[in-house]
Amino acid sequence: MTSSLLTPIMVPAPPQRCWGHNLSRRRRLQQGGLRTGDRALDFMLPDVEGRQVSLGETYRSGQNVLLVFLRHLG
Amino acid sequence: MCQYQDELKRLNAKVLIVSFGSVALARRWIAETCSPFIMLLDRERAVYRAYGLRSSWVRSWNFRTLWFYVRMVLSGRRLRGVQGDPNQLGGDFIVDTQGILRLSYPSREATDRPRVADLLNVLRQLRSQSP
Repeated sequence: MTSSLLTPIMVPAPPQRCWGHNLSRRRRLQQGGLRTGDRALDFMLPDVEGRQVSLGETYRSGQNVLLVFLRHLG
Repeated sequence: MCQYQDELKRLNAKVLIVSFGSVALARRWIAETCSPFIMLLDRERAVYRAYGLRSSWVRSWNFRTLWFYVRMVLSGRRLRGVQGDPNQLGGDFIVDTQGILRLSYPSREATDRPRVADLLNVLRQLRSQSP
C-alpha cells in the first residue's frame, strides 16, 4: 500500500442538513455504510494464488485486521 | 505501510488488501510495489458495496485528485496508468478480534485516506486492551 495515498487530515464529515432532515444518517443507510462500533460484515475472498481467505477466521484467530480497499491497481 | 511491517507484527495486526483487479494485474502490482501483505480479489465488488464503497466519477476526479497526480509526477514517481474502474473509491477499516469495527473510513474522494499514524494508534489501543 502506498503511503502517498494517505492524506494528513482525517476529519469526520459534518452532518448535512437540508429542509430540516438529517441527511448524513439517511445517506449512510442508503449507501449501506458501516460505522465504527458496527459488526464487520464477514466475507471470504480468494487471494492471488486462489486460496480462500475469510475475514471472520482471521480475526477469530486472535488478530486485529486492517482492511485496505484499493481504488484501482494504478 | 510496508515500512511498518515490524510494528504491525508487534501489534498483532493482519493487513488484508482488497482489490477488484484481475489476478494478472494484482500479481504485477504486488511485484512492482513489493507489498508484503495479502491481497484479496473482489472482482464483482460485492464486498466493496457491502462496506459502503461506491464508484463516483465526481469524487474520483476532482481538482484535489488531479493535483495529487501532478505532484506525484513532479516528484519523479512513475504513474502506472489506470487499471480497472478509475472511479471506484477505496477505504480503510479496522476489525478487532471480536469482529467489531474499530475504525471505519470509506474514502469520500480519491485522495481521502486516514493517516498511517492514526491507523497505528487504533491498533496500539486495541493491543493494549487485549489480554
